[in-house]
Amino acid sequence: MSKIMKKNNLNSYIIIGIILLTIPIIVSIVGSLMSIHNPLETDALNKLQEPCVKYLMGTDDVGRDIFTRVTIGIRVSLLIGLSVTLIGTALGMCIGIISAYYKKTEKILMRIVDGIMAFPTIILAIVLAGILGAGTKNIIVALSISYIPTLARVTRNATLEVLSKEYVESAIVLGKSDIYIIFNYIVPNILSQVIVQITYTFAMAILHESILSFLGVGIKVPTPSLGGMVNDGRNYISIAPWVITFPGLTISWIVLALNMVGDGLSEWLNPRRKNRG
Amino acid sequence: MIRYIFKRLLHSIPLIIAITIISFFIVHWMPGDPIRTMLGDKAPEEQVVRMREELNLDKPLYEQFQIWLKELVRMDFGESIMWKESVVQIVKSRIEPTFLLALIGIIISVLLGVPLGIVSARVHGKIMEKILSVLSLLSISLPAFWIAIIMIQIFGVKFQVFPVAGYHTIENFGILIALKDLMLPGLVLGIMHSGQIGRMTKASMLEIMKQDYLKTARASGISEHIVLNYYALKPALTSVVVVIGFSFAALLAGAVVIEQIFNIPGIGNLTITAILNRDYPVIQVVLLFIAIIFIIVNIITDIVCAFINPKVRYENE
Repeated sequence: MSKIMKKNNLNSYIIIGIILLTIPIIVSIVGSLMSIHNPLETDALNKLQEPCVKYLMGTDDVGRDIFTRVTIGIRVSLLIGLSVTLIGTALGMCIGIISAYYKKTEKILMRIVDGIMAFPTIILAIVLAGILGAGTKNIIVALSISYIPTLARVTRNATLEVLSKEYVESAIVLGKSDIYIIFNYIVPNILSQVIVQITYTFAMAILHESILSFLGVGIKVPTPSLGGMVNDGRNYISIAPWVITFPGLTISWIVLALNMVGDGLSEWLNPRRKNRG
Repeated sequence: MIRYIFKRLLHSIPLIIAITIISFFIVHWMPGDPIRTMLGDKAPEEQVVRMREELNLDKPLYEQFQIWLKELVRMDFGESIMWKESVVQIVKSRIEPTFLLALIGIIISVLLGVPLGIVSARVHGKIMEKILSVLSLLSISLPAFWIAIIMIQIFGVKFQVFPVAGYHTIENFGILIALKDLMLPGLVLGIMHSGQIGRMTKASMLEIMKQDYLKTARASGISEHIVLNYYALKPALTSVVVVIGFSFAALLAGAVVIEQIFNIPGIGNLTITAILNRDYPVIQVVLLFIAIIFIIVNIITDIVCAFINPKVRYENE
């Protein structure tokens, strides 16, 4: 892997993506440190105010400061996206590696994975979130379950490819333990393929979290969420377009940045697979 | 060919068993008492007990699963808790707008996405490719619900070109009015999926353009135009079929959100209403229905591919 990295210059997509990604993070941190507004405080006198110096992104229909709410929304979205990615990746990689390494488990594990994959991701996520009820923890569970199959599948295919290599065969012949082989030979060699999927998963998690919150099965009100804010502002779009513009723009910005990093990583780490989309 | 189709159908049986089990158990995983949630805390105890018996929720889980399987065989899943109508009837009545919407979506996304992919593959390595790839990336990254709201504001409210909400059935109002209702949501759905189709088309075009026989064709002095449009495009067709099959499932899923925004009484709208009201029989059937559609679309895609590309057929026979 390191050899490939040296040969290829860091892809411009990765750099642009990371720069784009740091902007909302900085805004979120600086915004919450400096904010003078309470994100939950309603103010009937200042409702639907246009963006101005006091209210950087204006106020919503009950007079809450949109900028403060967006900064919190970014934090909530990123935290959920990160947790979902970590949990989904950990479990997905385990299932993928086990099913590829221990052939006996393959039938059962892959049947379950195929079964879950027959439900479109977002529908599964909506149903699970609806079943578990709104709330940060439940969204993390719902989204993680929805992404495990894809991650398991990618991991499994990558593992099968590595298993067919001679150095793994020789390690098996030498009598190295399974754990040793998995952590020293398989994991390092599948990472370059899996990490691309991980980045896309992160992007997808943030997009899907916003959909869930928009539909009302996501983050519990009154906690600010970017998707929920778009839903709140729907009815006021003609008189106060800023209410939905800023949260929507923020979601798009973060997801685009992550997808760019994913595309860049895919070209950088897997040059043979270059041009896959 | 028939052998291939038969084999393909046989392969999907374990999958169908798996989704039947998942559709049943997913609902029973819900925390709390469904009847209490439905009737509210103030409901009298006897009403709760009666309802629980009616829905067979008092029986042990394996017995409930047996009942579910029997219902499945008879294709009769009882009544919806919320609407007090036959679940099958409810789902049936919601199919039309969703399929029409997905169909419009797929036509628009293919019309936009396939040329996008072909052009991007052709300008590979040039600045134009970067611009096009950012465009398709945007279509994947923007939240569809946000774009839908903005489109409603522009085309529905400001210019009033399209109706902004609701649906008139074909049976009562004719196909034209039904199509007009679905034009704007279909457009949003199509645009939001064209990026994915463009990316997949581009990837397969680039894969094909590396093939040796195209080099031979070029070396023999056949013009680049003919090489790309005839020699390369034809095998790329197989991948486009796969892309369309794959997208249909994604579009069906995307329709869930779009239907909610445009207030179209389709499967997606039904799913969300059923979930918010904890209407278990409906959720189970809708889930099963969506997964079955997904499997059927996959089978058709595979068969069409095998039909176009004999190599696929022989490798799997």
